Amino acid sequence: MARSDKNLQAVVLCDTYLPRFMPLTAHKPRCLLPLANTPLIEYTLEFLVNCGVSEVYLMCCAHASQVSEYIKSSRWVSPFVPFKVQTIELPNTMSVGDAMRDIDSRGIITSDFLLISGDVVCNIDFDRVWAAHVQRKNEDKNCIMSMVLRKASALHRTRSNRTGLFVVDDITKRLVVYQRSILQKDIDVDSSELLKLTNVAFRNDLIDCRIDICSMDVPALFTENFDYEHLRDDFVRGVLTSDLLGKTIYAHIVDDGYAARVESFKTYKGVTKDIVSRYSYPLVVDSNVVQGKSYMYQRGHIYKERDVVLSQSCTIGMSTIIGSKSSVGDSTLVQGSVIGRCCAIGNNAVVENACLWDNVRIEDGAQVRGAILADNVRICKDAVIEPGAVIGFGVTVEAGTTVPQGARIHAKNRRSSSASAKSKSKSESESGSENGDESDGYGYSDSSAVISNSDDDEPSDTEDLAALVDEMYLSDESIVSLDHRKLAATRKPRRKSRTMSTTSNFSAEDAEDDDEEFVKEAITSINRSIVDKHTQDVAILELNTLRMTMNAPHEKVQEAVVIALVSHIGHLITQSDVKSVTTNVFTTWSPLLRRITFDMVGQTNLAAQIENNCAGMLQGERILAFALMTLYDTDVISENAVYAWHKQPEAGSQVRQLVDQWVEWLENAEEESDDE
Amino acid sequence: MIDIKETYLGFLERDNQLTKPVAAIQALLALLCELQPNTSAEMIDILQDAANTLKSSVSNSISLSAGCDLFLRFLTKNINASKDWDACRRNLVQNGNLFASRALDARSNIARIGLPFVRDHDTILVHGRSRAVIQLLQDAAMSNSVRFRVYITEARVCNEGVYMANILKKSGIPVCVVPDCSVGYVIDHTDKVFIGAEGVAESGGVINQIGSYQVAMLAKAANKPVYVFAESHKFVRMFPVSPSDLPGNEKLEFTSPVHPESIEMNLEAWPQVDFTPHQYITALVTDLGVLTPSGVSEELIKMWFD
Amino acid sequence: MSSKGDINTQISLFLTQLKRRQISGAKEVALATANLLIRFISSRRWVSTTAMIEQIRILGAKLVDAQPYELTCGNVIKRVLKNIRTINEAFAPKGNKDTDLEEDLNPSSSMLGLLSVSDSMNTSGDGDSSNNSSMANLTKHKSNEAEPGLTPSGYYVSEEVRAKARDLRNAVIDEIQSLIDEIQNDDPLFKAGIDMITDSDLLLTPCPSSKTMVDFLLKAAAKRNFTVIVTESYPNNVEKAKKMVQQLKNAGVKSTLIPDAAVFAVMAKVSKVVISARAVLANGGCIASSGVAMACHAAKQFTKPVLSIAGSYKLSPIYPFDVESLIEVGNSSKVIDFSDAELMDKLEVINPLYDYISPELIDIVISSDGGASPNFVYRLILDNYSEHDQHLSSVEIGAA
Repeated sequence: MARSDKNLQAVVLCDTYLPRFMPLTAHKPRCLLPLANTPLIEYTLEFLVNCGVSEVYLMCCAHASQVSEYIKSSRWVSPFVPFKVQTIELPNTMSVGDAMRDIDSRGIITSDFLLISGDVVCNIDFDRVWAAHVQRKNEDKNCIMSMVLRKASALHRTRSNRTGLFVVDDITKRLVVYQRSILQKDIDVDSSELLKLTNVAFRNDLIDCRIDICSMDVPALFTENFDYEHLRDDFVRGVLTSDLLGKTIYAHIVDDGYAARVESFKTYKGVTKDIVSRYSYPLVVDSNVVQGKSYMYQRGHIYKERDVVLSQSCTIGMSTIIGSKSSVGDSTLVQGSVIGRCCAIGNNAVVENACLWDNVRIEDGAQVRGAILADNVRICKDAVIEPGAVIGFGVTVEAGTTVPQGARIHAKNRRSSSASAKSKSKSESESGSENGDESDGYGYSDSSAVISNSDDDEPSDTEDLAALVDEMYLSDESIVSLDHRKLAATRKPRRKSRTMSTTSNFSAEDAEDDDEEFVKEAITSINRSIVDKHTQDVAILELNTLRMTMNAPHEKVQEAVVIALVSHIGHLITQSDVKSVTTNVFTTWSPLLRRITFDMVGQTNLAAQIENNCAGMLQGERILAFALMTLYDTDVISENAVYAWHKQPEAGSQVRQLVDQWVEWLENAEEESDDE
Repeated sequence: MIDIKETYLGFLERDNQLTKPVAAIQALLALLCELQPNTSAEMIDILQDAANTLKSSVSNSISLSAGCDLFLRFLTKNINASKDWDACRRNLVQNGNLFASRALDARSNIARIGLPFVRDHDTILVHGRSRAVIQLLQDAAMSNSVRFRVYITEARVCNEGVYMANILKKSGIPVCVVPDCSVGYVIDHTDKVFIGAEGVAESGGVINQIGSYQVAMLAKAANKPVYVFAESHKFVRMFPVSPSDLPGNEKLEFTSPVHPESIEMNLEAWPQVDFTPHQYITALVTDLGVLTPSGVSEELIKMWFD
Repeated sequence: MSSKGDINTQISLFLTQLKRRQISGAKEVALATANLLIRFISSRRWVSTTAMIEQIRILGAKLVDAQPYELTCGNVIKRVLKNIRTINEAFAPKGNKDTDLEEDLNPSSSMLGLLSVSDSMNTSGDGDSSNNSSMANLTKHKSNEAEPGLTPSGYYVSEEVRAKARDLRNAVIDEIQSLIDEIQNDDPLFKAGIDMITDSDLLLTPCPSSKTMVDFLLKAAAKRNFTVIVTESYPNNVEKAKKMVQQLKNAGVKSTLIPDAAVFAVMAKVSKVVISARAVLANGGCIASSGVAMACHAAKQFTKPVLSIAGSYKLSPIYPFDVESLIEVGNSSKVIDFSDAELMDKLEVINPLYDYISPELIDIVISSDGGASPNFVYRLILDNYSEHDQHLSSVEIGAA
């Protein structure tokens, strides 16, 4: 508690604004999800105690009232706690950026503070980190942030696949480049920057624990750059790429102590294992720091609370936690699992590498492997839960059902649109019909279950829940970018007015230049995506980032995409026939186009863009026709949009001949169907 | 005057939960009931005589002698202290039934104190039938928080292993009956050895069903702890150094060329108990708590030399 | 809500510090416990010793549950309880002796418990029956009288009781204070230890993590001329081992650092093995840092004497019937580096922090009262602790 006199403040971001723990986070805030039978936030707060923090602000968004309630009734309000905890409910924030801006507007930060995620498990010696930060600040006045990064390895069980690549000046530990997600094969680095340095480390082996010491400038920077959404992808990248700011960020790489973050199901599993295996000592289960816990350690990393009922013939394997009042039946195997309180496991059942929260009932003969079962789940007789499944609060899995790998199941009543209550079972389809009848509420509904099939490029180890589960959320980014879009759309007017007011000599010319610049950049980006066969998610993200940094309108995005695609087709038609090439390219890229095309106007505009580009091209006529047909078939452009575009003044009438025929056919077909 | 031996055996027969020392105390009490001694000295004398008769008339008398000694010691101490010996006598007679129930309490106390000795995943070797051990294991099984398995030796001569195995089996405890000769075979797979006691000698050594000695020695050789579960009223002022020091353990016969009969083992006449010296015993679990063998003499000294 | 200075707050704070292992080390915990007890006792008004004993036992159970591996915490509480019981006897008014007689004849915890006549006695092993305490009887009796109202006589009596309670409180606090002095003063311990060491001794110590050991060797170096071999004590105490050798070197003591694996190899030349116990148990066995048992076994093999040094506050009335429950398992990353993902996934690591050394392996236990054979330790424990206080919490006997 070396710095208690210095009044160190900590801001805990309880929300990540990412849906990684769905469906569990539908009912419970993520910081209250139990990790090794203790709510996540407890670990973070314990760490803050060791940091010698004196004020803690919990920034909560989803289920904020639950967090407040929890803190109110916890030991953290007792007088012997060295810091004051204040819960700040922010139900209207939509990103970390919003939360940071809120902090700035509140003006609660008085000096350098600790910015930490509400899901951190850490036992490192913070004094050293702080001392290093202070020294850095003395040497470099522009240092606004020190990030704590734990050395691990690229495929570490506790490391998220989404952790970025850190390019660090090996001498000063200054962060030079931050590249999000290493799934991207290219690293986009300004080599001139690197050439200035003698020793550069490209670190792909770090756990980003989201423990940052920030200066007061950080919240302010978020306010200045109101398009910053994410701490790493927007803010850190923003600061590093900006020449104007001149601020620096340092990486504090630790190689002893434990520091990790529960940010996905993979790391949830990994951190659980670490805690059970005592890598986080003294932050272990049997230290019973949270009130009311009574765990005792037994050889082989077995932790049992008081009043555990074990049958004489059951087997409790290594690395197991069993909470109070839980029972295990005859001949049942429990191994490598975390079992909450008041769970009842029947006879001849198997529970391996699974996490059972409180009040879970597993009936005779059921098998649960590598799954997460939330509170009040009931697994009926002989049901099989395969690795990677996540079963939400209060779900009942009917007798004999098989829940396939990686399925996500949650209670129906929470979901408005659940069409079928029938459960599907891969192996025993005949039992499917019974499920609906017997179900006392939910059953397991196929419509809400997400079934993942692991991609080929990832090593798919069926035993490894973590890998599997993480796999499923590789597509998180798409959801994220959707949010981007919405946010950007809503915020746009505000932004414009602001820009107008602050920049007095704002001219239309500048804007045009900017847009041109954007189109160029965007085309390059898409071309790279095409050549390197990136996933579209990546491409979309790049585009969005680009759009937001350069403040370009959506039309320009479309323009860029269309230019890139059409020129790509132009390259290809020399090799094969126009029809197949065009259809192919547009089918492939239709998801992207759909994401950048929202309404009638947009669709019409898209058509117009294609037309413009095809004009003057070899075979332009045919490309245009096939492109529009493909887009119509893939529902990117609606019928009405086609008509609307077709009615527009003919900018390049020379390419329309073929399309005219198609539109005519389309109209006829419409009439025909109308007649019927 | 009542026959002290018959009374004693009668008590034992009526209640199979009764241990021998308590039966002896009950028998002496019955005698006290009937007596109308004139002085305290006379009363003590009569009781002393009866105790000696009892000890000499019953084979395998160690355990009952513990009861007799305890009773007499209690009496003399009380009489010396309070002067009013007759009141003391009446008091004892009136509360006679209390002792039997106290003895049962002592056993459940042992079970309570001994519970932590049964650990999860344990394999326990048990030799001989002991009510204290049975109760402990039953309680442990009931507690549901530990899982354990029990090897039970056949305990030949007394043949009580199978009997005990049946009792434990009914309580849902996984058991395995092994012949006495295979203790060496199973000792490696055993975590600890539990035995009861007929009597506990001053050194902390234990007089128990025959075979206990070899089991304890094997356990010592294999570095496994040996725990003895015995009520404190079984502590006896004896200091045997070998099994032959035990009263009633006769010499065993060898064949002789003069008598060419076939070799036959007379199980009836075979010694029922042997003596396990203290160095083979890790701890004694008694109603007074967990004692090391040296703690036994401490308790005896407390009683006899205060 | 209670304020910062409130005793409950202090207790809770201490409990969490124990749980977080923020306070560690036998001596630190012992001192902190004693200081907490002083505050606890002075913060309340005590009607009777029975109540005081009861309350301290409850507090003790909480502390023991919080850190079951730090036995000195329980030791201090049990010592204080014993002191209170002794003080209680001294406070018992002479006229009230008649109860003592019965007590003497019917100690529930002796063999005669079976035959005790009074119904109020039970044969439970705990035997912490309230009517054992004459002070309790007195106050109960008197306060009953005083209760009905503020009659002159009642007022007078309760005033007397109050004065008694005050005396009792002060007496207990004095006792704790002298216990603190005893814990802080290692000199008698060192003096007794130095007597066991001769010039030209070659000592081996496998306890580099013990501050007592460093202090002892430095102190001994002033009087004797000997050489010390220190084991590395991997993986938990390597840094401390290096530091210890450095400290000894600075003090002019010839010292060598050897890897743990070399203990057997050097044992033939060693003249004495000195270990520092974290706790001495009722059977004479010790708990010390891991690696010590191995060194003691090696010493036995070469019939070298093993000296165990431990302040009296480390004597613990607990029997090691479940050794596992006395040994804490530490950080696995000391054995396998956290960044080694492959090994971490494939191996389970168990890194015990302590060792149990059975009494056969120890030749002499040196405490502040001088040397004692391990067989004799139970006697020391009988002197220092009351049998009623052997266990404060079920955790101490390894019960889940």
